[in-house]
Amino acid sequence: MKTAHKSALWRRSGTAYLFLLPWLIGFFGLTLGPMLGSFYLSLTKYNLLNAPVWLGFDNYRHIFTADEYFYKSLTVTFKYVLFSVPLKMAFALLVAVVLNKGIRALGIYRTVYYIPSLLGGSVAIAIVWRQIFDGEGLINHFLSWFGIEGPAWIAHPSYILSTIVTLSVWQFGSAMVIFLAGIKQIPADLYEAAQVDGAGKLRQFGKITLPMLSPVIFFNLVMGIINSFQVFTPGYVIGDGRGGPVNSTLFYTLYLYLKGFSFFDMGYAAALAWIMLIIIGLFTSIVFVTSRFWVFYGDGKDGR
Amino acid sequence: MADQKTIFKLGKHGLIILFGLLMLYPVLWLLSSSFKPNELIFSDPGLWPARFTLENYVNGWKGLQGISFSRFFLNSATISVLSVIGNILTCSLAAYAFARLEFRLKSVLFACMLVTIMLPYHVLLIPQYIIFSKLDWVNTYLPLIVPKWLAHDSFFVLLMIQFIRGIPKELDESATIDGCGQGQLYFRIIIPLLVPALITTAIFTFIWTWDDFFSQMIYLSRINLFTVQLGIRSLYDPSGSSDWGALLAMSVLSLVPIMTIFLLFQKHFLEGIATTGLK
Amino acid sequence: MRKILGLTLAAMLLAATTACSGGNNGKPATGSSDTAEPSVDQVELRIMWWGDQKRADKTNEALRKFEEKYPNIKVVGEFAPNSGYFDKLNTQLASGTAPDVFFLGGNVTDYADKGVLLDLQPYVGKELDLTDMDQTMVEYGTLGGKLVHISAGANARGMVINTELFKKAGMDIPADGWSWEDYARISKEISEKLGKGYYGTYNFTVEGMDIYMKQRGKQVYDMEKDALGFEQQDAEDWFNYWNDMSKNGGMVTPSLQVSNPPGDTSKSLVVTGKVAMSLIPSNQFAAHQNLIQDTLTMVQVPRGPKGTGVVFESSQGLSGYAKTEHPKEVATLMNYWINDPDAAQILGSDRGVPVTSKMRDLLMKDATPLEQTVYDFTSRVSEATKKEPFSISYNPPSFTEFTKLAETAVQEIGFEQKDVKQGVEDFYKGATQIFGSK
Repeated sequence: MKTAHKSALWRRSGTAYLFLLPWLIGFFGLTLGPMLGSFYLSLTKYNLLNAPVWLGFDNYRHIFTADEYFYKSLTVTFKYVLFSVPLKMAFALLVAVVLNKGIRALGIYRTVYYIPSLLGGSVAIAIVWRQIFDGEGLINHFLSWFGIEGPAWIAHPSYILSTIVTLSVWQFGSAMVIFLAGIKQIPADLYEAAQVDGAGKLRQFGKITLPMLSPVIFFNLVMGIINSFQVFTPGYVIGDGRGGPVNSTLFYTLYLYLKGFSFFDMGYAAALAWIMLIIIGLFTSIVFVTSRFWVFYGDGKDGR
Repeated sequence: MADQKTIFKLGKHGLIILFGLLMLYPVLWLLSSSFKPNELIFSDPGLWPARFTLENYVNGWKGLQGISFSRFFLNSATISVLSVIGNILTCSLAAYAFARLEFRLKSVLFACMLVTIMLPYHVLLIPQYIIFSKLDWVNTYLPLIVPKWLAHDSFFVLLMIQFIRGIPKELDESATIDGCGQGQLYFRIIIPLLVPALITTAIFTFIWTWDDFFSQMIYLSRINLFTVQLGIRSLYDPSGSSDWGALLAMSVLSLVPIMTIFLLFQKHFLEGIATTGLK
Repeated sequence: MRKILGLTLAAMLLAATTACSGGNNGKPATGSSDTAEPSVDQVELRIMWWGDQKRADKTNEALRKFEEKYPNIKVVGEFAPNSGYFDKLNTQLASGTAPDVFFLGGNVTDYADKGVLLDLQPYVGKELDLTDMDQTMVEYGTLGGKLVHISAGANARGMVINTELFKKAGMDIPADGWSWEDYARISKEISEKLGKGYYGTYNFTVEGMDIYMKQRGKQVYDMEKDALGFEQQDAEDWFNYWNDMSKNGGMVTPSLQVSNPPGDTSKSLVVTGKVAMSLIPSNQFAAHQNLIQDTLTMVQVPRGPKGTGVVFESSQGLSGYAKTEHPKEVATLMNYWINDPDAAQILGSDRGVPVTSKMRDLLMKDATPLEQTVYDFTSRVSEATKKEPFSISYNPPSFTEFTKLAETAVQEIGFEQKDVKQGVEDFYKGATQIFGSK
């Protein structure tokens, strides 16, 4: 009985591996090697151009005990994640629900709202953003009507991070598109039934949209966390690309990059990368573990 | 009552449009500046060009070292289209296995899939470059495209997993009773129901590949292989004499394909694909 | 399964070991081409540079001309946009696939001390003729006793001046020979006269630090001793000078300095006509003038006790890859770059003034008015260096790290997170650490 079950699993595994084949080739051929390689490098002093020299855990020890930039960049990154992930998701969900149906020229609106995300980290964004958030920019002009003299949002160490969070929320397009696709998957008859029962819009949103959308919300949350921890480009687009002013835009990945490529200490950078992997992994696992309480799947198995 | 409704509707539209303008501002600025002569782009911040010129487009299109931007556009389109096909095909295969099938080492492999995107890209760059250069793939599009055909983008795999898990299982069960194998199940039941996710994947893959700069820059050196992004960045040298006009003009043009793709594809969200598949 | 894993591990080890072999002993890979005298065989060289489109066009044209003159050498240009050049170069060096020739800037010291650059000494007097090259530039390229870098253009730092703003303020345009006191006074005066939103000068505490140190007979980095070449007090005086400038209103605010850094022409307030004076390398003069309608000019740096402290510096230059298979052809290409009149004429002064006097004279003959301003300035500097010679400026190793540290200190003081004394103390300590650890 038991062996029969086992061989059935093996047979089914065969089919599954067939589906997974491309991914397996990619993982073992392209990803695993470099990943293990980078772990090895994290245990060495490696200046990119000469052979790595074995150090053991010295890099890690130095990071935790003697590197103030490490803690600084970690703080900056955590602040960013804490604010940008929830704000961006809430905003994207709101707009997605509004832009789902019942408005004329929907396609145009959606495209317009997606535009900031299209521009990504281009040169144009940097210039425009300055015009809006500059000391003499649009925002401060607006504030001056109320007699408030605003600071230079994009240049002052105390405010620049909030400007960067705003930029990331403003580029909510990708999350919005995913929500839109998710909303489309919700069977319309659920809403019809609710309408018959006399449930209001808000109630429908709470009782149907949110639970039915929870797998997609889960997805956006997980990806939001993974991507936000690795935030890199805004340090270039808004900041000076070296973490300034006064390290207020020194995102973790930016610091890691500077270490590896500009300061020629790739071994140290690799160690930083593995610490980041653990941090992200930790947060992602928390989301996965809690997901059984709030994510509802159509396949009947809640959570994982 | 009717009036109130109209006012509400108008207000809603007004708000959406107002917000839309905020979203559009950078593009409007980009558009207007691309028609300004070089020496006015930064000194004249107004949205309407004081002096209007088409020169930026003419100069920019000429491209670099005798290769015009038409070539760069063609190159970018080739890479993007091939990436889209690869991603749709292989990511959905992998997602199906993770979402619906039971197999040995499933949770280990699932964790592996997620972990691959948790390690910052910069430390993988050099080992990966070594692999590709050993394969003699540098200065070809293979390092950019092949990963997409190997379900390398965990983002999309997870996206599709989430969507597949949203599909009621009774559907596959009834199909299995009808005698469908896993392959048929995947093609006949899952794929049609997965269309919104597939479209999302297609849009994102196209746009992100189109906008990507770093890996293109690392792997492509020959000018005839250059992409639009490489072409644009090549016009940019903050410490030198950048041709800002041409840069902005080409940035405007590079937005056209991705905006078109988005506008065309997003329509599919309007049609009730998911529900029609269910009934 | 296990088999695949084993294979991957093997692949990974292979990857790791090849990564290690990225040019570790700095010996030029002479092997085959040394024995094969002027071969008729077709040789292919790869060359990589960065920069804007104009530079790319000129560089390519020069390379085509080179191929005409040396039909047995084919040169493949690999050009990278400015924003990713060094990432790409480092990746290629790390994987042992770097081009035979590549351009480096002030960071040449970072590469020289890792032994990845080709020693050109064996080819001097044969393929590579340096008789006509400025001695300081030859010295500049000689690091650790090896000639590893051939400057492709010289420049001298100086003050860019917006003449229009001075006219508007009703003030005289500054002239060579002014002092730092003059500079502070003029900055203050012109800011006051032009009113809100206009400033006398950018803050160039970091960019001008080495000049200031030389004016006092010190230097930022003492290459021979491999240590800092100045005292904490020197730095404190310099930081104080700028702090006073900031207090009296002659200088761009700390916020504007961050949002509109002077080194980026797309953001510079010199380009928008809001700042009257700033420190720039002479080869960037054209880039500024092209983006503004006001007429700009260049004046020498204000003087300190020992003079202006300015010398000709290499803006960038060519280095060979230690593992190249064709070192002779590399030397030939470099020789063409600095000595061939055709090359000089095609390349112009885009990377700075030519480093050989003959080529300089050649270009000066038909210079545009804009180039004329630059040549005018550089010949004045040239005169000054004859009277008051200074040693060459090298960027210290780990220069990027050092610059970041200095910038942070300036910002901490500017945004009033630390006073000058504290800021400089931390900066000095950090700098000592950076050079101490090497």
